[in-house]
Amino acid sequence: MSTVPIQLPSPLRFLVVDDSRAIQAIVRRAILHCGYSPIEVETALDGDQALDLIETFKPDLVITDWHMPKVSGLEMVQALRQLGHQDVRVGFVTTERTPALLEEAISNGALFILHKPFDDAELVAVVANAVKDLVGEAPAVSDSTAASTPNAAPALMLRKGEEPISHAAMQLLLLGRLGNIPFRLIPHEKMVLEALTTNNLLGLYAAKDVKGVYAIAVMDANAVCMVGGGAARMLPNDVRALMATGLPSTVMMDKANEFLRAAAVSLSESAVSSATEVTMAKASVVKNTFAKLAAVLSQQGQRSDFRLAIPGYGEGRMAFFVMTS
Amino acid sequence: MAHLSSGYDIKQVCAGLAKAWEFLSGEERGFAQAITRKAALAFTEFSYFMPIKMTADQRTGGMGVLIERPDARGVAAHMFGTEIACLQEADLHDACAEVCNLFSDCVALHISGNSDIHMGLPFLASQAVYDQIAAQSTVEAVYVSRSRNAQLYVVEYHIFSQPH
Repeated sequence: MSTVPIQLPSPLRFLVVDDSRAIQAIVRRAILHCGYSPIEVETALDGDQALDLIETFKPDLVITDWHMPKVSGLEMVQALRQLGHQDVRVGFVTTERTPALLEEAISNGALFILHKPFDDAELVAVVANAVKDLVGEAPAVSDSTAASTPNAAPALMLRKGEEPISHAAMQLLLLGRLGNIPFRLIPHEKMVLEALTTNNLLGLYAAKDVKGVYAIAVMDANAVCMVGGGAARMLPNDVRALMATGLPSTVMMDKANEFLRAAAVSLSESAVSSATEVTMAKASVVKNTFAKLAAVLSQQGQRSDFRLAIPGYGEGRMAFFVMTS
Repeated sequence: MAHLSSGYDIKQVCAGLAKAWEFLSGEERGFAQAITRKAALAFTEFSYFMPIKMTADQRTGGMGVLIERPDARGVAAHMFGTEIACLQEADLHDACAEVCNLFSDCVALHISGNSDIHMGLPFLASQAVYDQIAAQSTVEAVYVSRSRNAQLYVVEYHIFSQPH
């Protein structure tokens, strides 16, 4: 995979604030590969230095740590807003997880909260989302290998080394649904039958020129409540209450259905043929005792598993399977 | 303070430590819970300490992260994206403090359960401070990762009283 940088008329300016120069270096490297050009990056060791630099450097996006000596990341954002800089975009890269503090950051206008350790692709995804209205379009990703394949292999195969839905693609999908609600997405934790909720949402996907079911999505009731409730901007208490019953509301189900429908685009992108169009054929609620569920969850490869955590809501699980037989 | 031996998923803690180490150093390495707790006393020149407070019961604890020079050089080189020969001593300390930060978060995530947990800032412990921590605390769990030329310890302490 290679990223084709989008040429911008003026440099995109980033300010990286972290008391660790080593983490500054990691974040800087990821930003330089975010798919835009030209880019300017400045760094500050704490919130105090950052506040001075913001006046002169005028960054398009401030990416800050939380815990720093002198002025913390949250204090810096609060000071910024008090000084009248409502328009300065800020995102956090942090280990902080206390829900009340994260909510305070969001209420002060933080656009994202990314937890360390992160993949470069995750940082690129949240940065692209934060600056999308400045640059007009998301960075394009090309795959020269796939493009040059004259005869596509059977559509049941994924591109070599690819998952049905990558961590970065899921991050973007959720950003689209959850907006500014902070969330943490943990990949590769396999969904197992024993841990499923009683009711689960099953999505069936069809692909052009492929007979039968191309892919299956499974969202447990918690994930349905979180994605659906988040997308509907429901209050955390209301979401938690419905999660406790295991019965998502109608609006949650509708929003979760929309989410699964949107996931079809990512499934299309991971298919071996770039011409393979994947669409959601049907979504329905199934019990965890549904006979075929066990067989699907036992599939070893061609699957993407995610644990989703949202402060104030809780945790849910979902998985996507490209059918191997 | 809740501790790992009371039923927390050791595998998940070890997986979290391995993921954090790979993020910081670019190196895939396994972590395991050490049977012996004597490792807690293995002071190294890069011994970092992270104070931790459980909000629910106000009890304090901490994480000790003991890094030997070969690992300090390797992780710093990867984080700064430079050759080991180009590194300054301050770079090694900067990188090791961040290792302590992330490792502490990995373990804290699992010991905190549903409680809020407050982590401070990592600090370099001198031999004297380290001895004081060891003397005034109990070791709840020790995690270890070994490579050909270095071993790395993560020690979960329950502190009775902190040196500062």
